[in-house]
Amino acid sequence: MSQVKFLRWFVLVVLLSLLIAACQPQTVIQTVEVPKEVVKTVEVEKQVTKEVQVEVPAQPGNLRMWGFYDLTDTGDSRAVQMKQMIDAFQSTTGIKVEYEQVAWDQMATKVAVAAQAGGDLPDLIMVGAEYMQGLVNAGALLEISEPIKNSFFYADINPFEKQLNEKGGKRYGVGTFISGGQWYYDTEFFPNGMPSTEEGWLEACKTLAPQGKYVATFFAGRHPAAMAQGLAPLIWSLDSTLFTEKGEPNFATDAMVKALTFWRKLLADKCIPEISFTGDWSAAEGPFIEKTAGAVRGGTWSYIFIPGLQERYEGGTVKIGNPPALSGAKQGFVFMNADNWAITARAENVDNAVKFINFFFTPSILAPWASSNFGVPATVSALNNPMFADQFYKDSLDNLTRNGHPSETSPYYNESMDALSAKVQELMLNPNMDIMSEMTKLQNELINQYFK
Amino acid sequence: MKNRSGGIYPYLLVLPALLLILAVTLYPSIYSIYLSLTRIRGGVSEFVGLDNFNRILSSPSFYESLQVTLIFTFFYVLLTVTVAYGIALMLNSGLKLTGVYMTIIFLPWILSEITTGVVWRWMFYPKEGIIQNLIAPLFNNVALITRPAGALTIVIAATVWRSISFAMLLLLAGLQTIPHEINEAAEIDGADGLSLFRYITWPLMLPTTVVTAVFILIQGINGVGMILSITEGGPGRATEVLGIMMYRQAMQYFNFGFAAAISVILLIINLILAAFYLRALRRESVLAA
Repeated sequence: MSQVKFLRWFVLVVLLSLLIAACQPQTVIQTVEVPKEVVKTVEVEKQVTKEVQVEVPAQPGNLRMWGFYDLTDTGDSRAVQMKQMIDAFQSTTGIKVEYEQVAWDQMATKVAVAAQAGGDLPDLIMVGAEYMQGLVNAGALLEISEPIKNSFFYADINPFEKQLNEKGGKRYGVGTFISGGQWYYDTEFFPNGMPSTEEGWLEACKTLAPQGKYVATFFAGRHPAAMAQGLAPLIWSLDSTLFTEKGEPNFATDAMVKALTFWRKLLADKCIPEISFTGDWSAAEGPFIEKTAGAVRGGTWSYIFIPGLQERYEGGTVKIGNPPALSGAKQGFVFMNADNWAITARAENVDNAVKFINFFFTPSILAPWASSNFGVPATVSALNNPMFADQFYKDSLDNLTRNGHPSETSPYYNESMDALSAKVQELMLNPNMDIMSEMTKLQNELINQYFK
Repeated sequence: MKNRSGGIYPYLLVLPALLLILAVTLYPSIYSIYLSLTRIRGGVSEFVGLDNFNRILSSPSFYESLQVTLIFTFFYVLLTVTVAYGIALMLNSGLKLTGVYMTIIFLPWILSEITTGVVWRWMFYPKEGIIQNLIAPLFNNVALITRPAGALTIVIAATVWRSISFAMLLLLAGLQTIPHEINEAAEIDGADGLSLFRYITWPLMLPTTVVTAVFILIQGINGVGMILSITEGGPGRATEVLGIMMYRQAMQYFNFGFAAAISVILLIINLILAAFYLRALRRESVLAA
């Protein structure tokens, strides 16, 4: 009986120990400040001790970073470059970098959830500019206006980047390269250039549709970015906006009715494939790849994502066209965006994060980074690098300069644009629904939900 | 707290596991309720009381999602229980190779929800989907998954396909508790198959059927994984059930307070359904005894 009793107590103690061990707090990496000078007692002779002042350098500390790329993937030039940059930064500064990969479309969620739940946040993150407002609203980011204004590269930043990242004099991120929408057209379809007016599109459709071909294809389905890239430029072409200055949704406008009526007409007349509204990003690009559509809405990044585009562009059979403008508009637009570095609100190594940003913006580092992403570098000095003398970059820069329009912002940008994309998809699939009344309902719902 | 065999020792041994379970169930629930009473603006969390609930209850999107949830759950429960009942009856009739059939039928249940959802999505891809290509002529070459009614039908079909096996198991267990003698006596008296089912099987199986239906209903109300991987709530909001609305509010919009409020509403619905489930379970136990 006593043996059984002993066994019971033994098991109980083991279980409780395991539970206590499991509940131990995680080790938190902290920057340790070491004084630069210490007084050290050194025994020089047996009976004599001397006090000697010895200078001990401050520990460089660590930097925790979340990025999009898998540094072990040697097939991805962006991952290879990122690893090289991190290695160079470590050897130059002595700062130990702890890098973790987080997929680009999960980064904002992971950061916001960690910020909200008091979880583990790194010092520095990569994040698309479209997610910035939402993260600021979630309290996940640190304002970095002062460190960036005091940096060596601030005066060199191009105006596009400042339009995107400086709002009300405040800045929460810094763009490394600018990317933007681009319309690519096939010269076999449009030897004299891609039509860029509503009337031009419908005219071209009269010839192409009977052949089972499309004027263009583009993704305008359920995704905030689909609206930012596709619908917003049409709205801007009529001097209207999707958001008010306060950031409230401004969807119930004549410009919106005109834009969606144009899309309905294109869909009904088979000028664009239905997959533009019902597929996903890749599916919507399919008709252009298969040469059943004369044009595709992509971006400066499209070399990476549209198979065969680079070869066709370099072969001269594909060119960058002017974006479409609605009837009565002065010009068409393309949206502009940036890939940012941002420092999180609970960063423990803010100085090291700023050092990394400064290191990253060295022209000889920034230029190849932007080039591997087919983006326009955020500083003028980096843009002067010979690698941007390529015709594609010249055409892209020309396109962004003439037609570029920075994305609008709102504290509830992501949710408003997602709701808009769902409504637009509904309106396209149900042509009898009234656009103005549906947009009015949606606008009022969003304002009540987020702004009151 | 003493019991006859070991004093307080059994309770002490259970305590660590109990604490762990409470930590991963009770704490998140309480925290969700707290979150539902807050709102984050400009990075600052503020207590807003029942404001989130007011917003939900005055939001047309909430009622649209609720409608989708009710339609989805109704057909999900009806079809799952009906088809599972039929399969259970067939397996209970003494077929050969019953074990093989049960293994095949049980496969969907053991596969991952997300994986099977992605496969269903591929099968209905507008151009390349194998099932879409087969049935396209019946629907004027329209891609079913791109239409609200079509997408809802597909998610219902997929979730029913996955849940049939578990419902069938519960119902088969119930059928096997019905004494053979009752059926034999009825057959001797001249009852045919339909009469046997109507006057013997159905009444005796009613408690089990109710338990199964409520269990499947609870699953349906909370269903997110399959729908998310097949349609992500689209096209438009056609398949956006409450669970997906909650997910979107939290994970895409970072609107944690609003999402938590939706989760509290779902919690209340689930508690009511759980009460029905436990009551039905108790009744079944009493009848079995």
